[in-house]
Amino acid sequence: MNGPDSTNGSIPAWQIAVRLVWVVVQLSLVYALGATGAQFVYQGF
Amino acid sequence: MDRSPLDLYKPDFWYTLAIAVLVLVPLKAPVVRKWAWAAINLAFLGVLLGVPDLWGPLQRQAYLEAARMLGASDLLRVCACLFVAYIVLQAVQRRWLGVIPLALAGLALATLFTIHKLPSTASVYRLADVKSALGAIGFSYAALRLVDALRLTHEGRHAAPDLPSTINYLLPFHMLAAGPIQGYADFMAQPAVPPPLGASDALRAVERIALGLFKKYVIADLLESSLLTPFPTPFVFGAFEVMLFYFLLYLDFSAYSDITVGAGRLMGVATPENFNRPYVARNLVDFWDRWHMSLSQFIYRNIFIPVQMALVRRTGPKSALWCGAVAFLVSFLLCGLWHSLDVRWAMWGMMHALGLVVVVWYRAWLKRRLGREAMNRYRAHLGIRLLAVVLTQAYVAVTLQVVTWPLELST
Amino acid sequence: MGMMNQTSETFARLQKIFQDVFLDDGLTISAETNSNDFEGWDSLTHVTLMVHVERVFDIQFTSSEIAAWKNVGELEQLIEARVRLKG
Repeated sequence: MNGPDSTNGSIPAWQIAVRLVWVVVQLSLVYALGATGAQFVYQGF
Repeated sequence: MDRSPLDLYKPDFWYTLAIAVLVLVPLKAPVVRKWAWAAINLAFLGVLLGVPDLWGPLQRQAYLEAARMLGASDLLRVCACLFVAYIVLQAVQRRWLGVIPLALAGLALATLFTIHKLPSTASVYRLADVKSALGAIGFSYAALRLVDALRLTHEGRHAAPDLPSTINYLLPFHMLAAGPIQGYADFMAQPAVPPPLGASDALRAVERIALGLFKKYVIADLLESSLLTPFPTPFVFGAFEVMLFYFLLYLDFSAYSDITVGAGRLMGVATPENFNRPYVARNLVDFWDRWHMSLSQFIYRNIFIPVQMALVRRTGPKSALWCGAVAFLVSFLLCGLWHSLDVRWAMWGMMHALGLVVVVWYRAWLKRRLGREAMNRYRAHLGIRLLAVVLTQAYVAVTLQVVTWPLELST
Repeated sequence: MGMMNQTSETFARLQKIFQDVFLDDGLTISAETNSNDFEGWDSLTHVTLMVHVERVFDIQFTSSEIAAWKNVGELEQLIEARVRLKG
């Protein structure tokens, strides 16, 4: 089955840098916009 | 004390993950690694359930008080249960006392599951505490893992796990809250020492975690706060809200799964995928091959196959469709009740069973009617595929509404 | 997985089973054939295949064995192991 991470192999350095920037952007938005204490709906099932 | 197993805005989970990565990644000796992983999982349980503060009573030599505190400690009770699970699995493998260990394990699991999932136990004195502890450790997921291990050990397919592996399999900290439900065969098949974590693999794992957090705390929360209203809406907007609720649930649950898979990859702990683009499923059978896959695969291995095979062996291959219908009914009724022991979830399970039976019977009828060539053209037709996807997604969304009814209304 | 004799009797009978289940007399399989190769080979078809295999070879699988095989080559090995066990 294919998940988002199904490809293997090394990532070129320039791509690592670009993708790291996107990770930082995502985490910054999580910090800025995410509600504190928000629970996952599915937990406790 | 907060008993929520996974509040990602609190640092406990992330500190534990960081420590686990720092400790496990450099470890190359299999036995040491296994015990270190078990220690980390137990430590997280301690954080979750609380460690009794025995220092005071011991200083005062109030040993009885210390013993009482220990006895009342959820952490000790969970550790005791883990040890009992280890003994039971060993007994099953070695065929000690015949089927008694299996029977006792089944009884214990059923009792604890009922306490965990029956809504009314929350108001029963003493059971409320047990219920809270079971919820904290994600008992419904651990129970399924144990069932899988018991079955495979009983069949002789795999050896029973040793003590640290029992801890690591049943209660891995990053899979506590909502799975995935790792199969015992997959757990036993993972290498004792994973391949070294390279920069690219680490990046992929971190990306996965970031994606999960982004899906949950940015996309899902923004959509929910801006589009879902508490007010009754006219039909067409109501239909939109029904679909949105389903989409938000997908974002929420798949986000959690992204985080656990990413965390597992960082630590070198095999963690199964739970989703494979369920929004492109063209029928309910396809849907359950894509949504909460670890659960559907558990049901498939442990309920669907045994029930259907038992029936077909008695009645013959010609009755496979009817046997499949019964197997779906049993499997999805249990699937519904696994979520919660109430009528709403039983109805949800029945609706999915019915949908699956319709899909399978329709497909069999089409095959007979069209023949191979026309069937292949039918399946390849883009318009038919789109319609099938829309109908499937709509059906799944509608069935979800059943479980949102207030409990009093459904009884 | 090891070398597989694609002309073996087991393989020939397996091919016939696949043809019957997928309603395609011209269907051919190889050791690497798996669920990705056929549209409509899903969890239910998988069980149907195994029921036919059990009947044709007069063997019985455990649930784990039914769920575990990944391609026709592995299925053939599973069948031959079961047949040998039967004696």
